[in-house]
Amino acid sequence: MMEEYAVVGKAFRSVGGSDKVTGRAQYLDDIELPGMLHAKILRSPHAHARILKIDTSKAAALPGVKAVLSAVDCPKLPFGLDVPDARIFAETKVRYAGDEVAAVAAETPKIAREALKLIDVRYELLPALFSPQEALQEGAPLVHEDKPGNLVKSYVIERGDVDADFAACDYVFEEEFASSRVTACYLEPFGAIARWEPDNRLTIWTGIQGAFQARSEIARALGMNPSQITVKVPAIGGAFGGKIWIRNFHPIVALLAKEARRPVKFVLTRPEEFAASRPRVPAKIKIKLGMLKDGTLVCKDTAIVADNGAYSWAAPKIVLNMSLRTDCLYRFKSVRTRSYLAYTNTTPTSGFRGYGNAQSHFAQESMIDVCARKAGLDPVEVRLKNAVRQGDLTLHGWKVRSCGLTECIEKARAAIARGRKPQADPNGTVKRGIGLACMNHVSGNRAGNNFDGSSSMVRFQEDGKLVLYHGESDMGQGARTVLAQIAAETLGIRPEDVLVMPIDTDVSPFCFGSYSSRVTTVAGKAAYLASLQVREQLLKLAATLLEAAPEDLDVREGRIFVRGGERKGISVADVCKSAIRTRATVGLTAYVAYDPPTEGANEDFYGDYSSAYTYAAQAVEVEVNTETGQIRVLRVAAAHDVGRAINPNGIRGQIYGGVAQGAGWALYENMVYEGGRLQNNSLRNYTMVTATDMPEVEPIIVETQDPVGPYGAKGIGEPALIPMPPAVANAVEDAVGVRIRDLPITAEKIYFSLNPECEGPAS
Amino acid sequence: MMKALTFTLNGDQTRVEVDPGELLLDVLRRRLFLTGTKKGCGEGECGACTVLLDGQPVLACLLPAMKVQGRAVTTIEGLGHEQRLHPVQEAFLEKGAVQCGFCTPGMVLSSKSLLDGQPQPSEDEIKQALSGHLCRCTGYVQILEAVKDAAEKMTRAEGRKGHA
Repeated sequence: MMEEYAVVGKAFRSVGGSDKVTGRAQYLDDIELPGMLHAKILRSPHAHARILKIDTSKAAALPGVKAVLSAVDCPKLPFGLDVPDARIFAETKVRYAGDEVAAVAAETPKIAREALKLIDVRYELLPALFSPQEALQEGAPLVHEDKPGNLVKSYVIERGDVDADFAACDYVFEEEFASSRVTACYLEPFGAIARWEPDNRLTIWTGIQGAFQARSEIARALGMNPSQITVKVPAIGGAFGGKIWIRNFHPIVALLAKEARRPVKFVLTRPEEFAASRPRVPAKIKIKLGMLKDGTLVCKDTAIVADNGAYSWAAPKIVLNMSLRTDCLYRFKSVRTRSYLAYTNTTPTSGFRGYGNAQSHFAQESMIDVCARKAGLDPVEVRLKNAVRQGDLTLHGWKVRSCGLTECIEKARAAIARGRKPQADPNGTVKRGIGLACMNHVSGNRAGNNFDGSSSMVRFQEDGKLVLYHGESDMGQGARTVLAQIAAETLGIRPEDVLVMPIDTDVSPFCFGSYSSRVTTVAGKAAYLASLQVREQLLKLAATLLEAAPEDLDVREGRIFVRGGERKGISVADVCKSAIRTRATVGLTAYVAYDPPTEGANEDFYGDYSSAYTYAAQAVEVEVNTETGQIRVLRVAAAHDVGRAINPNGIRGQIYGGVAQGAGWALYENMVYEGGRLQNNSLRNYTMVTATDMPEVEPIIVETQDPVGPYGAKGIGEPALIPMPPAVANAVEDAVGVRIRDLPITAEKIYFSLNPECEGPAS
Repeated sequence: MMKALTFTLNGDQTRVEVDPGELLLDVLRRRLFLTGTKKGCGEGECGACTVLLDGQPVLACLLPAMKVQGRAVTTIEGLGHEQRLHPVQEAFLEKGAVQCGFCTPGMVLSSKSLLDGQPQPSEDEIKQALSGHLCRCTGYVQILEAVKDAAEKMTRAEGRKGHA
């Protein structure tokens, strides 16, 4: 039996929720500063072209225009992540349709838009590359002249003797899978406000997932020191990985504000969000899989070719995730992966919920079904037979401290079997099938030997309220709620008495940000440890006041009492009153920097890099109309090992939301390009799941009590999206016997697979 | 040439000078500082800018402000406040229907309008009423639960009033 807690695991209203239902929550575009100007960015209409001339003089002369900038006016410092190849504006050439060419700040958005039309740019078109396969061919034109072969990064990762193991297998199968370009499509467009302060300091307001990383990247682009910059994070209207890293507009808005000597706001328009945000890295993944007759998965050889787009952001790290993680889902004896990430003249790709792991799960979890079927085995039984278990050391060196994978598989299988609809309607037009897919993910991810933790500061006020400072953005997933619950549980106070502060890099403790499903586990642990220290201070002072020994005291619901003699006690508020601004001089404050107990991966990518791996199995039931090819996801049973549920309502929300995004990707989401230009750059033609298409979802929470996470908790931010596309693909094959290997699984693809005599689209 | 727009805003008679072509969304947000109405796309696709015009949901990002001359507009600021939330707002909090919150004001207003006209809607009616609102966070499930919960509570409260 797991320990019962007062706050952890209990339904609790989300912190900041009442501001959101009343319209008071302040998002970036709700902030108005005195004298603020509005910025617009001129973007390249061409996928690849040399810039012959940029003339901004007419725009600068337009009344109401206060600043116009292009590359000549800006620092030429490269910025970016593993492969820093970005510049503030395109310098000698544009590399994708959407590339930043110039920018304007004006009194009104309308004047700024008018001014853009007056900027004269002459281009000389260059041959463009739209796929990594083309880009990697010999003699292909170069996207960046200093990047030979258009290769951004390649990885070769090998464990065990794959070739020998294949030779000993009963079956070897090979298949290729492809994932489409999809975008995070958060509802609140991304943007920033910049204002220069006295002392040459810069304040940036931006709804970003990682405030401190943003600060250092903006500093790098501008040639400043991070401590000269303050990043403040307002309410964030969704992010899903799309707002982890800065964009070019961050340094641009800062430079416009400097030039105009006034604050400047920039917010992406929805078409810009589509054309110039950072979509998920699309990849072609070829898998060769070896297995025994009894269903034992032995070895796997994978080849990945992925599309980086024109500039490199997180794609190298994402392709690394793609190349490793699924190997640790089952007990493979040996694996080998060769991955290539190539530049193309398309929108730079980067992070989106799943961070590479979703793409490789589509391939592997589809592959398991294909192989099991070919071998005449039950795909679910094959998964159960090979699933990793608690205590395993995986072939990449992960220490599996807690693992509920088999329980998830069993529960999802049982749940989807209950209440199944008939497999075919009497008229034979509609067929139904079920499919299951598993996933593993991380709760934090140490890159090399870097810090992978979080910091927290908690401080009591004289009225007994607790102020909690942290640095991990709440973009809607409920970070603030979970942190408040953890602090309240640890200190024995009510969660309503915890004030979770907004993020301001001058004040907030050092953190990495909200990604890698890490916040509950690492920031939660930092908040737990800081609260524990303050609890000690609190009880020590209370002991003096109560004339008792601190170790005899306990605190519950804001009251400190002597254990066993519950009537003798004092309220937390009274202790605070006697501690703060009194001669007792007790700080009731603690600052904790926490780093999880993992070593990180070595140069060969071997090593334990997350303190808590997460596991899930999702089973779906789909309905296929055999005349039209139309697919509907009817039901989803989503079983997730969350370690310990801190906020069950929040977990359900993450599961439903992940299922919706995963189903959208599986069935319709796809960015369609023509000559390098995005054709569906609007919510009108980029189809997402609406209230009417949402399947019935049964969330199943599996608790394995992780030994490291706070109160046993692990992350749940990304996992629910990851198994959806393969689960749907597996269910579609179960329904109509057709295997779709490239996302999305559209009605058209089903139709032409069911009617091979009809001529398919010429793609 | 600016024009005078007179209308009832959240129950108050309001007069504001606007550009004839100005959209209601901009007038609410920029001139009247009611920023609870959100702009998610500016093309009438996401529903985040929904307000009620004479009780019916409309998209403020498409509607010229002058069209509300002499009529009644309700924005999220007019619905309830922290100490006295509308039952729909209460239910959204209770059911965990709020994540990032950007679609929330529009969702809440459309739900209120639905329940005003149809106190006991079926699940399909709720889905239809909210089908013009995109939410990227929640998968809609808890939003539907919240609307059902609000409907029950409002019906019960109405029943009590009837007996009083």
